[in-house]
Amino acid sequence: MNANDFVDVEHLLAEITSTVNDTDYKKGFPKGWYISRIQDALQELSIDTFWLTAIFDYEIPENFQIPIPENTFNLREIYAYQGSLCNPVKTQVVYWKRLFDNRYDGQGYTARVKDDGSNGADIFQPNQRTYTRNLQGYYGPKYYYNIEEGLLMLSKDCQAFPYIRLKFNMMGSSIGDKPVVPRFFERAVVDYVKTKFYDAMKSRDPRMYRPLWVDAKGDLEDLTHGSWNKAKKRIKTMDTSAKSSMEEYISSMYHK
Amino acid sequence: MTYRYVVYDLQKNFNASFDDADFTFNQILYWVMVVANRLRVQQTMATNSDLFTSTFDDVPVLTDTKGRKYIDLPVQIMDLPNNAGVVYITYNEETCNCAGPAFAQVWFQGVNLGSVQHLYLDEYTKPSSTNPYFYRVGHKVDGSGVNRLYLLGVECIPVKTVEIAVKSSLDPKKLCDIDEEIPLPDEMIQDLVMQVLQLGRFIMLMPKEVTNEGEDESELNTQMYANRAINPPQAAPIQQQQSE
Repeated sequence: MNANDFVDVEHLLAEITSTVNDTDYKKGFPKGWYISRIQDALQELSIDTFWLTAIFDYEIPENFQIPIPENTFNLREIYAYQGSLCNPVKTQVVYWKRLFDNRYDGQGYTARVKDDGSNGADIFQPNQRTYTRNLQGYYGPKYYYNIEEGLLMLSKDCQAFPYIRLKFNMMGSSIGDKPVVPRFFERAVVDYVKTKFYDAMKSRDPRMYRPLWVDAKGDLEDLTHGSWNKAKKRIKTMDTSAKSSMEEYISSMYHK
Repeated sequence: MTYRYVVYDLQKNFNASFDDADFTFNQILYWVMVVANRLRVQQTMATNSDLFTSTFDDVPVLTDTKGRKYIDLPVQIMDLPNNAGVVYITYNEETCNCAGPAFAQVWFQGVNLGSVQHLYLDEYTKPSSTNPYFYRVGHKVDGSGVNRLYLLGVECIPVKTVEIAVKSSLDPKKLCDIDEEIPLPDEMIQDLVMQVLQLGRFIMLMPKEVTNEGEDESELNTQMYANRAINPPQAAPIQQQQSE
């Protein structure tokens, strides 16, 4: 489900610190420790559910390399385009090519199978040159990329486009930024921080805090009623409108 | 209940029980404050109320010889777990004083000196002007007696004063008026009286052998445990008694 409604850290802290009886932050954990745990929770949910996305537009650099932006993972979509950064006109999907690597500046690269036929003498690999031409001649340019060592590397044919758009998943808020939490996740984040608090306190007073930790862990991780699983289900559920559209599309696709 | 009332009452009781006692008014007054301090800590631990909290505005922020910012505690405070003797320290981020709009007030959080390094490991706990901390140095700095709270995170801003609230202790040296109210709840006055009486009775009943009489010719009492190491009981007379 999609929404644009968030809860502030202070709102969460008010509940969490009351629940764990640390409203004056005098149990040994400063306020920042709680905020750090909230950021942890959001990060874990983001990695589990892919709910948070972000779009990055770049000018394609001369060395065809773009460092993966911080706080992102899982490249979802990639387009090269003409026009301007604010107004993409002609767009081209860029595809992933296995083992492509041009980590050093320039157009040269290595790959198990090369698209220019330069490995044509290889007796085991297919000669890619045969696939690059049809009866009329040249098939056309090839647009592809690969990611290695934190670098997104583009094929030389991408230079036909001045700009590129990358759509990534995000790992929640950047470390150090104040997190904002979707309301779908409020209960899960509160239970997560509670569990981490009691977990940390166990080493100080196991007899007092272990039962509390067990209860909190149940609130968080119970397979049926646990807030973590509920949060994951909620965020992965389709919007009703989208679901209706898909049902209509599927039901009508063979009956037109 | 005033100091005068309670101390005179105690003095009268002491004189009634021990007619040769020589307890002065000031001595009993000192005991009252010693016992009151303990009762105040016990009461704070039990109720966590702010009955013994004092606030101070415009406490000046000073800088020591190493460039570290600190404040001198205006009073002695209770030594409670996790710096709970300091209820809060705030300053205004906009004016760098304790005055200013409430929304800009920043709270200092307490931390133990040994844990300070740990704060710098996490972006969210790192000390800064919006996330400042304090730690206490209550004994000595470079050999000089101090009672300070050092401030972390405000090194780069010109903070001049802070507001502070503390759970304070009673200082016998600072009592100027014996007609002041004893800062204890009325229901605890009985405990105060009982414990001071017990303190006086303990002193009056102190065994004679452990007092210094100033006589170096007096015979050591071999029954005292402390003296046995240097003067063990003699076995011979006991054997004689048994044979008789």
